[in-house]
This record gives sequence, structure tokens and C-alpha cells, in this order.
Amino acid sequence: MSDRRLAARRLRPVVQFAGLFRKEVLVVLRQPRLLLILVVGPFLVLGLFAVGFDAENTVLDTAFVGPQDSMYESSLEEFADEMEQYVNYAGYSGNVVDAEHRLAEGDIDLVVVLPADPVNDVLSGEQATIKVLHNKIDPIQVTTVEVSAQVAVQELNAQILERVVAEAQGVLVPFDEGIDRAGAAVGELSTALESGDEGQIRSLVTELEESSASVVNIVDVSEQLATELDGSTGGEFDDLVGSATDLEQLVADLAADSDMTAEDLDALEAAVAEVAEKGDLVTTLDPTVIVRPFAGETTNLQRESISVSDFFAPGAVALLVQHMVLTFAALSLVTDRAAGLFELYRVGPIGSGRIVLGKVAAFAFIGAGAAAALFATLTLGLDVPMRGDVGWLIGGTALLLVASIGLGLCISLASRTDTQAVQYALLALLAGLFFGGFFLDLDAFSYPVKALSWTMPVTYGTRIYRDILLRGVSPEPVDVVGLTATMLVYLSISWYFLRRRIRVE
Amino acid sequence: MSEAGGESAPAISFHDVGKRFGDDWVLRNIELRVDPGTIVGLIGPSGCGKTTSVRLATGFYRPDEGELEVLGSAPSMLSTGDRTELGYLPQHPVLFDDLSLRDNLHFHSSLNGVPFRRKRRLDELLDLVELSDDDHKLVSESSGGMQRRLALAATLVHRPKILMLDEPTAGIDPILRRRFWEHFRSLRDDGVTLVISTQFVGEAADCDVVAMLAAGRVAAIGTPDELFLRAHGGQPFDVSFTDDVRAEAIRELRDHDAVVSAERIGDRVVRITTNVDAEELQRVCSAVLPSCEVASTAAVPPDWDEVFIALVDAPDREQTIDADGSAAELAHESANETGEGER
Repeated sequence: MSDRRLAARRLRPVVQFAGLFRKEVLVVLRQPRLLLILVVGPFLVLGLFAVGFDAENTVLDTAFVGPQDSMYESSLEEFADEMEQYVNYAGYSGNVVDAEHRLAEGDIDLVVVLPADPVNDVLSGEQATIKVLHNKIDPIQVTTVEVSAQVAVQELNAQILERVVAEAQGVLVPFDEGIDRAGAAVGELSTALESGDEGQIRSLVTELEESSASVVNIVDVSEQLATELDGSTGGEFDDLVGSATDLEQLVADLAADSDMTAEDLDALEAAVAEVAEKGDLVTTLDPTVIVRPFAGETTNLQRESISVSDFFAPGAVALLVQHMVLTFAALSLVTDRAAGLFELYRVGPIGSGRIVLGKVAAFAFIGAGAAAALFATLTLGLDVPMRGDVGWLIGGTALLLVASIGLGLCISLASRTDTQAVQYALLALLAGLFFGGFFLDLDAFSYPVKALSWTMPVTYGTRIYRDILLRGVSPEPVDVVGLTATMLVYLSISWYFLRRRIRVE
Repeated sequence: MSEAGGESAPAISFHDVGKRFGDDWVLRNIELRVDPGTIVGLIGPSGCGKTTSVRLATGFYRPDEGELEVLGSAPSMLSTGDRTELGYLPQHPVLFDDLSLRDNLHFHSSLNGVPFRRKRRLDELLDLVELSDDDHKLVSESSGGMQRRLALAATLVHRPKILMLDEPTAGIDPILRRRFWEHFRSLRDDGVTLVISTQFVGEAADCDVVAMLAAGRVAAIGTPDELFLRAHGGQPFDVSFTDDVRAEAIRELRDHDAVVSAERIGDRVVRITTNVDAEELQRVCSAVLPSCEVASTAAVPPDWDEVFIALVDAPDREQTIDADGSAAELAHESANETGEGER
């Protein structure tokens, strides 16, 4: 064999690889409309999503229905601002039919029908029912309505309770007066005792009996309220009740004993001071705290907040990258077969490995360009954060591209026509949307369906991109290993079946 | 069945080859030997098995019976290196609409391992198929004829030693077709072996050996001259006489041993098929018709459609070609049984 032929033979794999690469790249680049759809289209979709999405629109417009001229109307208008975090207040009326008509017309999202006579219901030992009407069919919206209604009813209960507590605390105001009266009576009793004015002493003892009884009553009421609120009175209330009872008992003893001494007065003064000190603790409790003892405070350990569009951007890119190269690859072998190239593959000096390699390199090259453009637009144009390492981003993208191309080649080998290939590619896109963690968390699925998620490159791509872009950390090893394994499996399958397909019949 | 043979090892040999798809046999009992540096034409109507034969030779199909060798090996067992010696032009051009003509040629070059410095070779081929001025055009913008020409150029790009061309001249105008055949002969002269299938029966004349296929079998095989002679039973001549020829005279001519057939085609012109040459025929005519002087004798050029019809209409005959190229005839058992001979 001549040196030239030998050199040509050695270079043959390189030449064939280069030829396949060049052909695939040219075929794609010569279809500007296709490129426009696959590369510019995603930008438009992302842009529209970012511009058009408004979380405010997800708050439900709600009309309330209840008796005319009831306390509801004024209360709702009063609480309209506070309700905004749950629902948009869309008016009050006494006609449920009208409200249902508005609901049917789509003017409002919810109708809340308030009980006509809640006091009577409660006094008869029943809960007053608040009805919530809606006509949602989206299960997620139905859940939102149910949760919102539940939260709103809880909030209404809490607000009513808050008023009751405040009124109860209002009753506690005479406690201060009672203590003051008791303190003043003890002081005057000392003077009357020194002067020996029996009439004055009797009058002051009576005053002490009334004021201490008042204090005991108020303390009892407070204790019952506290018991209703948290199920247990706690140590502080027990002490207060004990001190108030002691005071009352001491006053009663004095009233029965006509031989009052200075020591008795000192004990009385100390008892009044003790009740005054402990009663003060109760009267300073905020009704809001009593009714809502727990307040939620969320602290995100992420360095920066993530908007809705930011959150979805990495998944969208992963999905677009997968879909683009998968579609190219899915169409590629089908087109080759339709053009009769399989005949030449079978007859010619080329094996399936080189064919797969050439196509993977070509589509990965195109996909990498598109992915770079997508990320540049996201980070520079749409201000999506890029907090992680660019090296990981490149590596993750390379794995995602090759795995997706592998899947596309498998689809291509399973398809008889380009129409079939496109349909399979769309199915893969849908599967990616639903099971790839784009909208729904993977934990929302159970096995064996969840296994489908792990067969799709986009699942790993989404997680890897979110880690790199949003969390600013390196991808989880399990995702990198999973994506690599997926890539190897799809490439092996496509290589094997292409080899079988171009084998002699 | 016939066998084309020579002393050297055949480039391609079919021995009792058959191929079936499912339960249907599309080829049976194919015997064919293709010597290096020859043009073998596979001629026959659509569906007669031409494409299957070519595909068997390329290794695209594996035979279901018999033995088939290309370059001394079963085609499916050829090494990658040996495969670079094959050039295959499928019936439908393998071209990509979104690539230019030159880019398509580049792709085929790469597929066959033609080194990167190939511009001169590509120019040469584009010139051969008269596409030099259109090489930038996309395939989608080119005519069917241009695509056929480009496909041929793509088949030749790696200078294969064996060319298997499935209807290379379909859709090509007669002038370019002639040029193609000139190039095929030139390749043959350079030692390239060509197996060419065609529906143009007239192209049989351009082949060294012609295998006429019908219904999945070889109806006849031989050199073009042999097939022509066999179809007519001899060489037809148009003999012009100086006077009118009487019907009685024509009957007398037919009775002569050297005359296969004789029929009047004009008042003074008789078409005589004979197994002697023109000079001897003149002597025969003078002897049989002393009153009529022969003005001229002209060999009738082959009408390959007639030849094809004549040979294919004798389906029960197998024919073989001996190592020295002379045609012989073997009859099927059925023909022997009925005593049917060659027409």
C-alpha cells in the first residue's frame, strides 16, 4: 500500500467525522426559519413570561353576601385592606343570586356567604357556617380557594376573638380601680383606726369588701378567658387568683373581727400590693398576642431573593436546550433514511459509532451556541442571577446537550417518518414539562412514575442549572452522575440500534 | 443459467443466488461472473430484480441462497478498506436539499474517506457531469437531471475499483447519457469494473456483457452481439435488388440452408436473416435468384427492444457465456422435455 493511501486510510475516521459534522451543521444553518423558531422563539417565550406574569393576578376577587345593614358590611369595609393579602374585596350585597350571577359571568372568583344570624347559631351551641362558592375547575385553583377560605375564616374568627378579648380586658380596667380603691381604703382605715372612728372604720371595711370582691371577680373572668385560649391557666394566673382570694379572705376576716390591729392593716396592705403587682401583668397583654400567640417569620438562607421568572428561567433553558437538540437529532436519522443515506451507510466504509459521533458533535455545537445565547440573554437582558461557577455551567450544559442528542437519536431510530419524529419530540417536551421538575417538584410524584423523571436529561439539567444560577453552588453529584449515566445509556442505545439498522439484511 | 468468465479471479460472482422478501422470491438461480475491467449491464423491466441484484452485490442485502462474492469475499464480510473500493449509486440519488451541489459532493467524499485536499477532484467531477457552473446551487433548486448527474459524481468521487450503478442514466438527456457511457467505457479501460442496471434496453450495446432479467431470473446473458444474433437467429441484412423480387423467389431464399428468414420490406428490398456474412449472402442470393442482381447489402442495426422482447419471450431458456466469450445455450428441464428450441 502506498504511503498516500496509508495516510488516507489512517485519516479516514477524521475525514468521515468532519464530513458528518459539516453536513449536519450546514443542514441546520441553511434553515434560517428553523433556527429562528428554535433559538429566537424561546427568547420570546421567556420574555413574554417575564413581562406578563403578575403574581397579583392570582389573588381572588371576592364578593361577600350577608344580611343587609348588618355589622358585616361595615366590618368588611373596615378590614378590606387587611384582607388584601388573601382576597380582593369585591363588594358586599344581600343578594346571593346576584353574587352567583357575577361568579358565573366571571366578574368575580369567589362568593363568601356569611351566616344570617351567627349569634343565634353560637348561642344554640353550633358553629356559624360561612359558605364559599366558586366555579374553578383547575385543581390547583380549587386548592387555593379552599386554603384561602380556611385562612380567611380563621382570620375572621381571630379578629372577632380579638375584639372579645379587648372587651374582656376593658372589663379589667375596674380591676385597677378596685385595687386603687382597696389601697385607698387601707390607707384611710389606718387613720380611722388611730382616731377610733367606728363609723368610718365600718364604712371603709365595707368599701374594702366591695373592692376586693370586684378584684376577685375580674381575676376569675381573666382566668377563665386564659383557660379558653390556651387550655391551661399557667402559674402566673394561679398566683394572681390565689393572691386575690387571700385578699378577699383577709377583708372578710377583718369585717368579722371588730378588734382590728396595726398588724392586720399591714397584712392587708401587703395583700393589696401583691394583687396589684400580679394583676398588672394581665392587664398589659396585647389582645392580638392573646388571640394569635404565634407569629410566622420566614428567613430565606439564600443570599438574594428569587423572583418567579428567575426561578423558572433555568428550567426553561434546560427544557429549550433539550428540545432543540433532541428535535434536530430526532429528525436527523429519519431524514438520512428518507434520503437513502442508510443504503450508503450500509454499503460504505463507515460504522455506526462514527455516524453517532459526527451527529452528536454537530448538534452539540449548534446547541452550545444556542445555550450560550440563551444564558447571555437571561443574565444580561432579563437580569436572571448567575451566582455559580461558569465552568460548572459549561460542563452541565455539555452533558445535557449530549444526553439530549442521545435521546433524540433513539427517537429517530424508533420513528418511521419525520412526522413521527416530531411528535415523539413533542411528547418528550411534554414529559419534560410535567415530570422534569419545571412546574412541579419531583417529590410530587411517586414511583414508578417518578422513574420517568430520572430518564429525562432535562430533569438533571433543571436541577443543575438551578443550583448553579440561583443557589450559586456546585451541582449535586447525584445529578451530574445521573446525567452522565443517562447520556451514556442513550448513546449506547442509539449506537447499538443504528448498528443493527445498517447491518446487512 | 450463464456465467461470464475468464482466467483471472472475478470481481463479482453470483452462484445460484436467490433472494426473497418474506415468502416471495424476487431473485432465483442467478449465475453471473463479472470479470475485472468489464461493463456488465443488467437490463430488464421494472420489478425484474435489477435493483435487488445490485444491492446484493453491494452487500446491502444478504442472499437467501447460493453464494455471492465481491473481491473474493461475501459482500457483507468485506472489510472497511475493501468497501472503499466499491462505488454505489442507488436508484434514488442520496442528496440533501439544504446543501449546495458542491457541499453534497463534499459530504460523499468524506463518507468515503477522500482526504481533505479534494478541490481539484471535485472540480473535475463537476466538470464531467457539467455542473461546474451550478455547484453553488442548493439541491432543492436543481433539476432532477442535475441531481442524477451529481449523484453519479458522488459515486465516482473516491475512485472506486468496482462501480455498481443502479439506473445511472435515468432522467438524463440523450446527449449527456452518451457522455456518461463514454466515461463508463473510459473507466472500464482504466480497469474499473462496472455493474450497471438500466431500463434503457438500447444501452445494452454499450456493455461488454449483458444480462437480461425478467421476473427475477436471468432470461439471457452474453455479449451484445451474441444476444443480437441469438434473438434473430442470425444477422439480418437488407438486400436491395436491381429488379422486383417475386414472392416465389423469396420462398426459394427461405429454403436455402444459409437463410434463417426472408421477408419483403419493399418491391426490390428483402430483409434476410442469415448465419453467413454479407459477401457469402450475396453469393447465396445470386445462386438462388440468378435473374436478380444484388444492388447492395446492408447489415440491419440492432433494435434492442426487439432483441429484448425476443429473448425475454423465451423464458424457459437459461443461457451461459463460456470463458472464451462465446455464447451457448442450456435449456431448462422443462424446455428439454417439450423439445422447445431457440427461435
